Order: sequence, then structure tokens, then C-alpha cells
Amino acid sequence: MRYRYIAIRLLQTVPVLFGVSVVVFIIIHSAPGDPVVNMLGIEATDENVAQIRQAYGLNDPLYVQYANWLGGILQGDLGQSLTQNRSVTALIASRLPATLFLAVASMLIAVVIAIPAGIISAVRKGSASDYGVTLGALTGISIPNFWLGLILILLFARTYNVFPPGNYVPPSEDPVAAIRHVALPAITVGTAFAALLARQTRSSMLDNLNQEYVKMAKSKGLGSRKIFVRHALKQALLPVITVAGLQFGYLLSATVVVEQVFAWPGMGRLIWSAVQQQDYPTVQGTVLVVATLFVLINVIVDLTYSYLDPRVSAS
Amino acid sequence: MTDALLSVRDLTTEFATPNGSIRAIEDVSFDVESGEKLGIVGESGSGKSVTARSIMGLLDENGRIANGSVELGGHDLTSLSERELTDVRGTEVAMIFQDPMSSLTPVLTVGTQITETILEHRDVTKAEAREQAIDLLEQVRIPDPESVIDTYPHQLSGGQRQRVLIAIAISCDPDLLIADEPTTALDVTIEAQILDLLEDLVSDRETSLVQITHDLGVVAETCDRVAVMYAGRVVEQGPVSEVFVEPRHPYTAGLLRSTPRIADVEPELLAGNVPDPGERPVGCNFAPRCPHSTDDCHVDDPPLEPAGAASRPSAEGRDAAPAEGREVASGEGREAASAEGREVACVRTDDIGTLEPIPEAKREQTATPEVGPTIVEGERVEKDFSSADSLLDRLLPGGEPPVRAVDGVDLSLAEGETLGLVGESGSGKTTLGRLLLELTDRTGGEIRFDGRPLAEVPEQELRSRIQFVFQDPNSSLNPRQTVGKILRFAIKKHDAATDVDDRIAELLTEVGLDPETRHDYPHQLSGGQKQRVGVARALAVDPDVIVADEPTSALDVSVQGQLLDLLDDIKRERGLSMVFISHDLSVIRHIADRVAVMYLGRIVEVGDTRGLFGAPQHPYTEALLSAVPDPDPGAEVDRIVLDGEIPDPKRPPEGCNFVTRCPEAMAECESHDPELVANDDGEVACLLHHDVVRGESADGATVSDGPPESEAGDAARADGSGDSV
Ligand code: SF4
Ligand code: SF4
Repeated sequence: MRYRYIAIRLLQTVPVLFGVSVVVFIIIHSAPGDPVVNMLGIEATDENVAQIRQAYGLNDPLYVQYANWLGGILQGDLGQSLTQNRSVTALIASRLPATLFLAVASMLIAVVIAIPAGIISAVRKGSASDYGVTLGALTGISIPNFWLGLILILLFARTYNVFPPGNYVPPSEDPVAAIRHVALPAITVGTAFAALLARQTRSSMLDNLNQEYVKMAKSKGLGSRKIFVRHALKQALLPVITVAGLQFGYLLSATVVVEQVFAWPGMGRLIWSAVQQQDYPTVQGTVLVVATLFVLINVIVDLTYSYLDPRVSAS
Repeated sequence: MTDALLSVRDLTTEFATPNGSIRAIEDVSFDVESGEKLGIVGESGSGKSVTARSIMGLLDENGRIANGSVELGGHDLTSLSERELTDVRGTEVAMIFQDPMSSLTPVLTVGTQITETILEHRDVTKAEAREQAIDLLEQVRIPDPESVIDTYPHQLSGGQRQRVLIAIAISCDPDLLIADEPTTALDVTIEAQILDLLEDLVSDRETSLVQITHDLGVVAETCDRVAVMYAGRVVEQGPVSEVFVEPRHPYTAGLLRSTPRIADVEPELLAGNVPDPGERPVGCNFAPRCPHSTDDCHVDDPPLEPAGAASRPSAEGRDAAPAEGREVASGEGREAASAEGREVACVRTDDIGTLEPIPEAKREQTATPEVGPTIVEGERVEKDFSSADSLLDRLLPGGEPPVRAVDGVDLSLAEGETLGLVGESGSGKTTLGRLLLELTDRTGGEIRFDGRPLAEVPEQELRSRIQFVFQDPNSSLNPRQTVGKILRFAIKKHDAATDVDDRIAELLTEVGLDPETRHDYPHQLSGGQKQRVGVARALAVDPDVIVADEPTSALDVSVQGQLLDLLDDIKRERGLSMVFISHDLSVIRHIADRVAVMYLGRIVEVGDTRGLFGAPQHPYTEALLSAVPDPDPGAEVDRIVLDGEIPDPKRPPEGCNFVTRCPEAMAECESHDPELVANDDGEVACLLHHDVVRGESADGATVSDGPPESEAGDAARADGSGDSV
């Protein structure tokens, strides 16, 4: 039953990803402005423009361009950047690790803070710590992340010099430095995320503690610690995982802004500059990769879910 | 004072609400002796479940015990700390919860949930605990316990989950078991199995039992003593054999008299509602509904006092009895009276004497009312539900087969008739009802309305001539619309010309509501009132046929009786036809002229109500009738407890649908699928009564045409079970 479920779940992503590629392609090609003019500057002669258009296949009808693009993707080729003399695949390969590192670090920080906070706040409902967590979560959600990033830089990098203000160091080169460098951007991205998760954990934990089966567990004579851990926690984390998966999209979009603030050489900045320069292939490629990531993360969430909740794969 | 195992004294429980604190139960007192079985019976709002949870210390966060004590085996549970309570729970007292679906933790295996209890209280290894758990599963009669122990709750049926709950409860040999409506969520035949099981376990282990229930029949069949609760108080208690035969409190009598029974009695109406906690009247809580109330009743809450053995009062005898009674109550005679164990909370006990538990009025003798020509007719109606929800699901191998919810059903409804459709879960009764209105699409067969196939009846006409009354008024009435608006919409759709306001008032009056109810929103109404609005909405289009799907199953006995009477009156006055769908045989007995019994998507027996209830033909009908608990403690019942579970409708058995559970099953039943065939007493689908096999006309291939295993029989089945004929 479980393999069947996994197979279905994976196969379902194929049409989704196909749809994403079509949408990305259409949106980008319906944006106003001419990328080639952009690329060559105002002095470009008509002849030059025509030449380039020809070289990049921009004169073909849209569906031909799409078919070419799709054909390339299937072979792992996302095309050639219009502004940099590199393939889009290479560009992404150079940027993706930095973004993933930031995203994972943010996620870890969020999870480590949020889940215990949410649990404590649910178990001690109405106590001072509950109010503290609730207030903290509200603040965390309300603060715009670019602002938080600037404040963190001012405070911890400029005034006290505890952490460097960003600048990616690959963890493979120097793990310690990598962590020091990722700290501030990860806190920036992770704060709102943590706030969301804490809220979700609190409410789903409360929800579970009111269930009949928790009363049932109590009626067996189990102590409260066992009841929380065994009968409430696992269940309560299920919706938290779902929210975390869905919010991974938020995480990626937050990096676009935060990477600017911290001069983080990731996908966010790549997308940003590619959009400004109307570098079609790069925008298409990056958006597609991000979308694929998002879809895959959600499949992983579903599979985790099915592993934790025996009801999912059975029905 | 007493050597009772459990002694509850003056227990009062309060709940904090936004409108101040509310007393759910007040001054509840009772004892349970070792090995005794006490039933606590009452309608919703009576406080019976709160009583159970107060004893266990399992109140919701906003609840607290305000007064009183719960002595169990020498200590007062109300004074123990949460930590001390963990030593008592499970070992001295354990609870069986009502809803097996929500009372087991979904992410833990059955085994884990049993063994954790044992490991908590006993000094055993994990392996030993597992051994014990398997043994317990065996004791609660779960087949194949070795594999069930590793399953998750959702993989079990409702009945099996209830067995698991029982296994957990008895795992550490508690002295007292509290069962909170343990069978309410179950089907009748499964309920019979569970009651049987509980009975055996309790008597084998000499455990005391407190059985909380709304069902008088369950009390009569399983308990020694009973405490009747009303609006947070115990109003009467004593031995079941006395209380249910010679009730002393007017509420006990009213409840007994209003309960629909399988026996041939017309239930009486008990008017009014149980008051909400917080809105209870001054004086006796029952006074607004009590036929015996006088001014004295409105002064103080009558205390629960021993009631002397009163004779039935005659007009003159009334003065003699009270003098004796009062003396007993005040003097040393209390002991004597307690020994007898009858206690009543009513200031007029001695005037009233004993009451009659069964109304005298016998059911009207008109077996079948005047019925006209057939108005709705179904022929070989079929409905499949596919469990594959996506294209991929269907394309990949290994998916689930579809559920055949309705499997080739013939039925007819005459003008002016009430047809009762009765069955357990998975019988397809609700689906069949919905098919009649085309609320869902048929997979096969034909339904005719007024002689025309449904396809030829315009949607508009169909909707105005057949109406549906839903089971759950909460989900069928739009919470954001007032009653007036809900009705206005229905009226306008049918006939834009009428004066809508007059019509709304008329409809509300007809269903017994104040026309001013139109300004209320559904949440401001009680369950019974909401259901009346549902009926009014159905009537708004002047239908000819009403299909009512379990319209009373969410209601209390007395409110249910009121609604049934209303439906019956409306039907008579308007000359309506009605299909009444229910799992409750007593209700069907009360309201239907003709009954169709369904099992696994088929009708197994049809007959007029009196005949079918008096002399059931199909073994399933027989078992079903015998399984309904009878509130008369003297009733001689030969309960037929069916083995096993209702089969999965995705994989119905070969041959007769009922063969896996039929006590009368014969060899040929496994290969031959009986047709529903008419005889003198109705129609029945059972090879005991005829030998016509499904899929052939009555004069075609029959069992007697060849040996049971013959190809003819198999062929008959093969082409009979599928397509319509
Ligand atoms: S005290 Fe009065 S109102 Fe209450 S039950 Fe007795 S007679 Fe009826
Ligand atoms: S046909 Fe056989 S199995 Fe079916 S009900 Fe009759 S006796 Fe029982």
C-alpha cells in the first residue's frame, strides 16, 4: 500500500511541473520590453539586434521556442544566459548551494526555537510563558524581514561585531566560518518562519490535548509526561510539518530580499538581476528550478506525513 | 457507614463559562456494591456523563468538583493529587469510552496502547506485556489477536475498536468499570455482541460496573440497579426490576412511557425539553413538564429520599400512605428503606404512589392505512462508489474495488404510505434514499415517479414533489440565515406568487413552532426545533413525498417522540407519502406502515410493519429484532447474537449476502444468491423460504433444478449479480 502511495505521489508531480514550465514561459514572454535591446544597449543597430535574435531563436514562433526550451530541459540544458556568457545551468549550479544553505539554516533555527516554544505554550496554557510565546510570535510575524536584517547587521555586525554581516562561505571550505556567516541572514529569514511554526504548534498541540484519546490515556493511569509525548505530540506535529512544507515557498521568496541585504550570492540575487535585465533564459531557468524544489519539498512532506500517520497511505 | 465499593456523596460539578459558572450536576449520591451493576440513565443534559468523568477526575479544563466526595476502596478520589490519581486509574477504576473512533490514539498501534497500560501498573517486561495484551484481545473475542495487535486503530471496525477499548480497560483488573455509552456508536447487531461480552467479562471477574446510557433497554438487560438522572440530579434509584416496573418518579414514568418499543405499544408523548444547566427552574427541575406538579413543587429542590413501599393509591388511600412514608424517611426506618434501595426525589412521592411504565393505549389496529396507487417505484436500482479519487489511482494496479452501496434493489412506495427503510451501517439505506431524489446519480436500474422514468421528470417538478429531511439539522440549515430567510427561499423557489410572510407563519405553526421563530438563527434553536425547521422547509414546496433520513437520531427520547408524532400528523393531514430511513427498529415500528430491511446494499425482507415485527421471516430480520434491548426487565428475550462483523461492501460474500453471519446458513447459501420473492407474509430473500435465485425470473433456474454446486447455479449468480434485468 505504501509503495503505491509513493508512486502515485511522485507521478502526480509530472503534470504539475509541466504546468509550471508553461506558466513560467508564458509570463516571461508576455512581459513588455525587448531583451535584446536591453542586452546591447541603445546604440545597437537594427542589424545587430536581428543577428542576436536569430542566434537565440527569438524570431521563432512562441510554441517553437517553448518546445526547444522544454527539449533542452529534458537533457539538463536550460539554455544560454543573454547577459552573461555562461549557460543558465552553470549559473544556477554556482548559486543554488548558497541559497539552500541559507534556507536550511533558517529552517533549522526556526524549528529548534518554534516547536519547543509552541509546546511549552500549549502545555502551560494561560501562563506567563504562554503569553511570552504568543507575543513573540506576533512580533515575529509582523516585522518586515529586510528591516530586521538591517537592524541585525547594525547591532551584531557593526556595533558589537559578534557575527559578520553575511557573505557566503561554502560550508565545505570552512564549516565554522560558514556557520558564523550564515547566522544573521538565517535569523532574519527564520524569524517569521519560527513565529508561524510556533503558532501552529501551539494550536495543534492544544487541539490534541482536548481529544478523547488524551482523556482515554489519562484514564489508563499514565502520567502527564507520557501522555504529552506519546499521545499528543506526534499527532500535533503532523499539521506543523504540513505548514512548514507549504511555507518553504515563503522561505525561498524571503531569500530574494534578504540576499540583497546581506550580499548573499544566491538564487535570489540571480533572479533579481536576471529580471531587471530581461534575461529570459535565466529567469525561466531559475524560476523553474525554484518551483521544482518547492514541489519536491511538498512531496517529501507528504511522504513524511504518511510515515508518521498510518492513516494516510492506507486510505 | 456502608461497605460499598464506590460511594458517591453529594457530588456537585461546576463548569466555568463566559456567562458565569454552571452546575452540571448537583448533589448526586449513589453507591455501587462489589460486583454490582449500576445503570445511570438519562437524556442529554441530565449530567450522566459528567458524573462519570467527575468520578474519574477527567473533567475538561473549565470543570471542577465544587462539592461532595467520591469514595473508592477507602480513599476519597476528589482529594487525591493528579499524581496519586494515576495509581488509581487503570487499576482500581477504569473507563470504557463512548466513541471507539476518537478514543484510541490514531498514530499508535493497538498493541502499544494496551501494553503501555500494563507496563505502567505492573512489573513485567515488554515481552510479557505483549503476551498479556494478546491474551486480552482474545478475551474480548477479537479474531486473530496475534496480527491485530500490530494494527493501527483505523484498520479496525467500530466494533473491534470498542473491544480494544474494553481490553485496555480490563487490562489491570480494575475493581470498578465505568462504561460511558459503550454501544451508542455501534450497530444493533454489534451492540448485542458488545453487551454480551461486557456481561460475561464483568461476571467472570466479579468487577463492578457503572453503565452510563440513554437507552433504557440497555439498563434493563444489563444492570441490577438503576439511577435515573434528570437535569443534573438523580431523581430516582433502585433495583431495575422495581424501578422499570413500578416507577415512582413522574420523570421515570414519563421516560419509560415515551420510549418507542418493539412491543406492540404506542409510545406516549412527553412534552417539553430538558432545561439547560443554568436555566433550571426553582424547585423541582421537572416541574414544568410534570403532570403531577403542584405549587409545593416550585419551592425547593426535592431531596433524594428513601421511598417506602407505597401501594397504588386509590382516591381515599392517598392520605394513609404519606404518613407512613414520611415517618420512614425521618426515623430510624431509613436503614430499612435503604436496604430496599428505592429512593425518589419528589415532594409528592407518597401522594402519587407507583406509576405505570407502559402506556395502556395499544397500537391502532389499522395495519395498513388507505393507500393509493404507487407513486415511486425503483427497479434493480444500483449505486457504486468508486474509492479511486484520481485518474492515476485508477490507472495504477492494486487499487480498491468500488463499493457497491446499493445492489439491485426493487422497491415501491404507495401514495399515503410510510415506508420504513431499516438497516445497519453499510446497508445502503441512506444512499437508496438519496437516489430516489436524484441527489446522487444511479449506476444502474430505473426509478419511476408517477409512472415516468426520473430522466423524463423535469428537475423543477421533481424538486417540488419530493423533499428530503436531513439527519443533521446543524449541517443542513445555513447558520448565517434566519429561519424566516431559509423558508422564504424555499417558498419563493416553488411559488413566487404567494404571500411569503403568511406562508412562513403558516409553516412554522404547522410544525409546532412559534411564528416568531422566523427571526432566530439556527444556533439559537434546540436540536428538536432545528429539525422542525428542516421539516417546515421540506413542506414549503407542498411535496407529495418526503424522504426523511434518520431525522430523529440526534435527538433525545422525549424530543424524538415529539418529532415522530409531528411527522405522522403532517403525513396524515396532507396525505403525504414518506420514506423513513432509520437504524432504529423501535422508531420504525412506531412510524412505518411497511418496512424494508436492508443488508449490504440489498433489501432482504419487506412486509407490513405489524407482520414483519410479529413474525419476521428472514434470519437477519429476526436477529435484528431480537438484538434490540427491551426496557421491560421482565421481557423474555432470546437474544440472537450474530457472529462476526458486517462484511466490507467492497467485497461482499459469494452466494447469499448474509451467509457469513447467518445462524441458519445452509450449504447452498454459499453459492446461491436468493432473490427477493413475494409470499403470503411479504417479500423475503432467503433460501429457507423459496428457491429462487437472483438474476433469473421466478420460473427460471432455481436451486432445486440442480445440485447446489452445479454450473447452473453459478451461472445464475454470475449474470445475476451484475447488470439489471
Ligand atoms: S416534585 Fe412535583 S414537579 Fe417534581 S416530580 Fe414530584 S410531583 Fe412532579
Ligand atoms: S439464504 Fe441462507 S444464508 Fe441467506 S439468509 Fe437464508 S438461510 Fe441465511
